[in-house]
Amino acid sequence: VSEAARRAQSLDDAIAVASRAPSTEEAFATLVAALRARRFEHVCFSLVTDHPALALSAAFALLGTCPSDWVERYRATGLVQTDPLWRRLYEAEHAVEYRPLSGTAATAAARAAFTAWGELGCRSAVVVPLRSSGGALAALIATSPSDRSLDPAELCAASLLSVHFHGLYLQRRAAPAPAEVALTDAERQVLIWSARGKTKKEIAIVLGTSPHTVDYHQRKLLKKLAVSSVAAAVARAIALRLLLQ
Amino acid sequence: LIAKGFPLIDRFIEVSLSCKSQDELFVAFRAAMGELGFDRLIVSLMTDHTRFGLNAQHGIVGNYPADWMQFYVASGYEELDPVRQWVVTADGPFAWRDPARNGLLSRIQRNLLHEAEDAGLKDGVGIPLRGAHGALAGVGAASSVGRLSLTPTIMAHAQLIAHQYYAAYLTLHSAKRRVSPVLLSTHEREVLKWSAEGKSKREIAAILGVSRHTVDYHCRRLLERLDVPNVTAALMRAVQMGALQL
Repeated sequence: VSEAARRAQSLDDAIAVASRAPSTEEAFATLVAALRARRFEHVCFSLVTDHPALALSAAFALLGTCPSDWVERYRATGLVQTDPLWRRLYEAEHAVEYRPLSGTAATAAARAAFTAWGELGCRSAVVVPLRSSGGALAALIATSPSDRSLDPAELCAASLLSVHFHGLYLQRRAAPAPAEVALTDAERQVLIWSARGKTKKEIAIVLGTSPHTVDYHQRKLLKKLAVSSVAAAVARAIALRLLLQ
Repeated sequence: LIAKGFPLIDRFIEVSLSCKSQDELFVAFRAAMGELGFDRLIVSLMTDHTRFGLNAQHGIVGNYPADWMQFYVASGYEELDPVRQWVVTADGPFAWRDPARNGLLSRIQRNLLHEAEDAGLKDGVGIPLRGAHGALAGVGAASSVGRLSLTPTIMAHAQLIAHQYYAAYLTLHSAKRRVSPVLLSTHEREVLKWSAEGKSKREIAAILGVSRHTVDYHCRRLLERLDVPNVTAALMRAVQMGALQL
């Protein structure tokens, strides 16, 4: 293989191409092309949890190459909940291989899932967890018609291509930035320690100040965030992305 | 060894998969990031990585200047560092000097970034890395020389190399125990949701049409399961564990 041909198939190149795509749909098309060049077949991008930051609810196969009647059947038969693939995804630190045809399915739900993926001609798949702030989880699934085990480097390549697409997706789809709330250092400290479950008295000890002062900063914090309790302030701060978790 | 000239990310995947130790892996990470112009790196675990038996720690590995690290700890900067705060909330790589972010900084935080630059950490970027069950890590990367052009391509390369580093880092540690996912009951979810709206237990009982005693019961169970002292901390923990989205 010539150096130029190798470069054209490299991740560096695929990423540059995806970055230039004018829309998320076109960026997704470049992801599909890059994965197909690596012998994957179907590609399916799903929001596994709600994505409040994007103002989007959980959705299976939000983008993908799977036939729409297949997607509808998958949804209608409840596999969105019961497919063992989703459990694997939650547990996975990074891309994992899912082999619907290997071994015996333990439960009826697993058998139904394996049958569904079989209909797509999928003999193995790479499942990539895509996590974002606020606990949101998305997934990219790329199927392979081949029975052989995926090469670790190919698994990583599929993973990084997906991570890059996910970043572009989040960037382009992000809901308008929430209103700016500027906190003082004292207010931020009170917020951080409250989120860890500390009481006013405890926070005063940690910060070396009086409970009265903590109370003062806390009241100002509630006012700035327009909420009525410390729990609501923490929730609001998470939603506004102000908080150190 | 794989020859230079072959594309960087592909090359780093191959190298990272062949590393047998954390030291070897960090050397490879440094080399790859160095090609992008980032010769100063730090890797931090922002949350406990329970299943790997690792606790949250600033700078598990890195090559930031030693005098800066000492000054940083002595000044109590870990709690105030805006880069650490942005890592929590960012969904991708970010420049420390991004004007859109800097507007919200406090005086001390702005000062901290100036001091970092003076200490030889110029054109810094932060990269959030997320694992299962709310695990969060972060990479800081900077240049001792400066004058880097932080183009989207450079940022994307840095992000993917850091991502691959984190995957390889965790693989080398290998999971020591299973952590089962926390699935909240409908009642527990309701309690959290309404608490996030600022409702008291009495108000939540009225909204759900159950007794105050029932709300108390679900609340106690929730705190026990999440191992936290109160509802405020429960909200935080639930979001961290991926059991609740806000």
